[in-house]
Amino acid sequence: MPSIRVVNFSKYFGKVKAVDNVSFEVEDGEFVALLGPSGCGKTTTLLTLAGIYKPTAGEIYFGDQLVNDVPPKYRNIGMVFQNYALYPHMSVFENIAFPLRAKKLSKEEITKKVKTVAKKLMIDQLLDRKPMQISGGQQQRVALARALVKEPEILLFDEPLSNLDAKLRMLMRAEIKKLQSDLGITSVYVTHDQAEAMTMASRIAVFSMGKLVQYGTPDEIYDHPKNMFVAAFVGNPPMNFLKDFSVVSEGNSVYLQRGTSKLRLPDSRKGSLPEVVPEKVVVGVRPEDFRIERKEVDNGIPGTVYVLEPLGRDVIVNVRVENHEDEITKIFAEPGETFKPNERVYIVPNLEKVHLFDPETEETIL
Amino acid sequence: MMVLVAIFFAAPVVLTVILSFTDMDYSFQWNFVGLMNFEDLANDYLIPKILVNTLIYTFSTLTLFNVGTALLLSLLTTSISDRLGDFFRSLWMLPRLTPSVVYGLLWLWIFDPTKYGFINNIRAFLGLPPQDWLHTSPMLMVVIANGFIGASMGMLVFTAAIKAIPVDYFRAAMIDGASWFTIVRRITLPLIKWQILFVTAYQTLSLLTSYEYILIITDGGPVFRTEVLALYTYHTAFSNFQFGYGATLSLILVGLGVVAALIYLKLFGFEALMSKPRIEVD
Amino acid sequence: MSKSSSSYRLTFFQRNSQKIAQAVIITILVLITLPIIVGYVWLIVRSFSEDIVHGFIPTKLTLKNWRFLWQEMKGYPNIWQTTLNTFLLALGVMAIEIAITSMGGYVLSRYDFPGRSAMLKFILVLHAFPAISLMVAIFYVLWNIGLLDKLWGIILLKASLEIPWGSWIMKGFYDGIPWELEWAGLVDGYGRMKVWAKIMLPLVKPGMAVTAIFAFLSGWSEFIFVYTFIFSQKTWTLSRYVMGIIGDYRFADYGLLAAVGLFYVIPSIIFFFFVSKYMIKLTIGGVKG
Repeated sequence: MPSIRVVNFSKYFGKVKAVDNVSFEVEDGEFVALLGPSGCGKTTTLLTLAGIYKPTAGEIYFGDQLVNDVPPKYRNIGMVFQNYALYPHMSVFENIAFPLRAKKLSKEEITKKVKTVAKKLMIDQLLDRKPMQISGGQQQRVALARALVKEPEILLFDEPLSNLDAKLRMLMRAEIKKLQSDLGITSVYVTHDQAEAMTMASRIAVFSMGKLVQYGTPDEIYDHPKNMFVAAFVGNPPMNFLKDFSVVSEGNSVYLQRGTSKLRLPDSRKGSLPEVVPEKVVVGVRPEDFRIERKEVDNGIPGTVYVLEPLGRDVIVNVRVENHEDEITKIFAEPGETFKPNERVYIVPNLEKVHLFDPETEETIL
Repeated sequence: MMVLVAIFFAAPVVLTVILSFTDMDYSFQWNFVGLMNFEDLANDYLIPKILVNTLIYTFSTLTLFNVGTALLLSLLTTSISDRLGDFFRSLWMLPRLTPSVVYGLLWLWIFDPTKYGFINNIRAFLGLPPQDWLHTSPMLMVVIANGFIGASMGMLVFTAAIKAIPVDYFRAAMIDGASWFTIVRRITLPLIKWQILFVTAYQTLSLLTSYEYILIITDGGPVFRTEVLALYTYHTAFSNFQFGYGATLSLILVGLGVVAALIYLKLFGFEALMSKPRIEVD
Repeated sequence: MSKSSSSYRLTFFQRNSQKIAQAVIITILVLITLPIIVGYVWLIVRSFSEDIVHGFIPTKLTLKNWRFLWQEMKGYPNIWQTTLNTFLLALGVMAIEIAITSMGGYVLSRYDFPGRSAMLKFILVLHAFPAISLMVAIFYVLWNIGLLDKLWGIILLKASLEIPWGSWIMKGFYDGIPWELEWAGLVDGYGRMKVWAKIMLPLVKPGMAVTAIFAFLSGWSEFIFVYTFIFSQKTWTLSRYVMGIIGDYRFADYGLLAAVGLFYVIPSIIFFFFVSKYMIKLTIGGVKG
């Protein structure tokens, strides 16, 4: 299986820069997710990998070979589309056989290969049906089968799960991941669902407005987001942002201060602070990195309980921060703890894990 | 609206039926003659020739242009960039918006029998003598002239249908290694077969009853070689002023029209268009 | 699956297969479109030339072919009277059609009345069924109501034959307006007529423009009805005039033919640029998919 190398790739449609100077690499057999909101350039990148679009600038390499000008049919890729793109007038068998017919394989060989792949995906009893006569989940499997039957060296997925209901999506998520790791086919997977990217991919490329913002493992992305966009996009509920804190040094200690709230940065972290820090910073805290206290404590920020969102196993407590009415923080409560709306509380961030951002550039400071 | 439709559509239909039992001429005298016109029709020695002409004209224009060229144009123009595609499609719309006499004039020039005609000019360039197209192949002239107008409707319908096919089908096929021809044959054509049927039905009917361009270009000649049923009806009524017999001939057209209309209503149902309004206030 | 890395080294033809296919397609398109291009280019070039050789090359430029504009052709009515008639016909058809179809389209699109679906089907059939086959009876009707050889006769006839289809086109534009807008208008306390006038009508202006242009062009181009139902030269329109010129000067003076033809086709070409965009996007509905 080849690796994929994208070097300084840009794609313009007229004056619109759909993708702007993006570089990343996918290793042999790796599963990479392109993650971002709609219109961020991830699908354009995928279609360029497929050869449907041609780069405006930059190079695409499969292995060590430049493929910019190679038409799709010579790229030996399999692709699964968002709406599956199953041809409605052909039976499931004909759909799966379509790529093999283009290769002009013999009848016996086609039948054999289609049956093998259908069996693997547990759709061998559906081969005579038309796509309209089978369920969404089954259509998904047929689309997968069609992509796999030609034994591609690269698999491309364009939001393949977004049309399924939540339960089926979880199931297929695991199944695609297993299939990919069994076959070891280099794969690129486009999605706007951060949970999908986190659970399936070995590395995630986060896109925003045509640019590649961050490329790294799910843990890196989650624990060390490069800027506020990534921090907010990955994680559910998203990271809480508390604005207008100043960084002050008193003696040996460094504090994050806003009004009467004063948070002491642990010694282990203050060394990582850059020399020059903006006057005001944004403090980012993940919902699981808050603790809620009823009494005033060190590092506590006063607020009132706004609303509760029970999720069954967990409860998300929404706390409105005092004197900052627009800041409603979402916090996972400790199991067993119960709160009432309008109760006065103190929220205590885990300062080992807080993030600091520059409000101007939105880049991560700490 | 209903009054105008009544005066100029409903009344004429009824009148056509009644007139076919008279021998009315330019004096507008009602003179009922029973079935005489129908007997004339049965004995009209021109009728077999005219029916054959009508069939040749309808069938060739339909297959070569109104469906064939239309299909070719829509397939080709959707395979290139939208801007170029729109450009070619616009060019093909031009004849439809051109006054028929001017359009006819263009073909009269292209097929002119002297060396001034376009084709003969090219032949002269190749060292060939000019040819009198009107006498060697009048039907061809008529079919081509009509076809260049008729192709545009099918082109528009097929183009819309092709554009409505999800683009991922084509992408998937390209990735799966299908060539342009394979994509056309295995994916595009099967997915627009209803539109092809629709245009075929629709254009058959409209070709059977059209004669305007034939009237301008050959006027049915030479010696009835391009005289089709609709034109013969027109000539009977307005060149020979036999309104009664003309009405009888019209009845054949009306009958053909009704049959074809019923067929395509049956085939196409149009149920999607008939969706109920969603307000019940008056 | 084997761990071989395939080669993407391709021949020139494989690598450029898409470009080659594009070039082939465009060549074919140019070739089959050639007669149309040739025809219109000839019309323009020939009308300003003394004579042409090799198809398109003028021997000498001249305005002589346009003499019909400043001197009356023998046996023909004044060109400006004829042009005025043509304009009146086109504008008349346009005015009547717009007035009626903007209402008719709304009713077809938004009102549920008994026989609605029968009427919609009837309109489709009517459109496919050229009323041209009813010429004999129409002749009698026109004579009977005294509109034979009158421009008004042609205007009314033409408008009424096109109103059903025009209403259908307008219906398409009304169909495109979300029901919510109309619901909101009704909830906000307006009657249905008010809602139509204040909310719907402004929203279908593009549709009215398209319908108006088509109506104008169809009136402007009308040939058969004028040829058959108009006898007096003072009531002639340009189509009759051009038809006469073709008959009289065909082998004698192609320059004159081209000039007269070009003169007649100018408004059509101007409007063509406005409507061709709409036309090529027009979908003719009613097809099972």
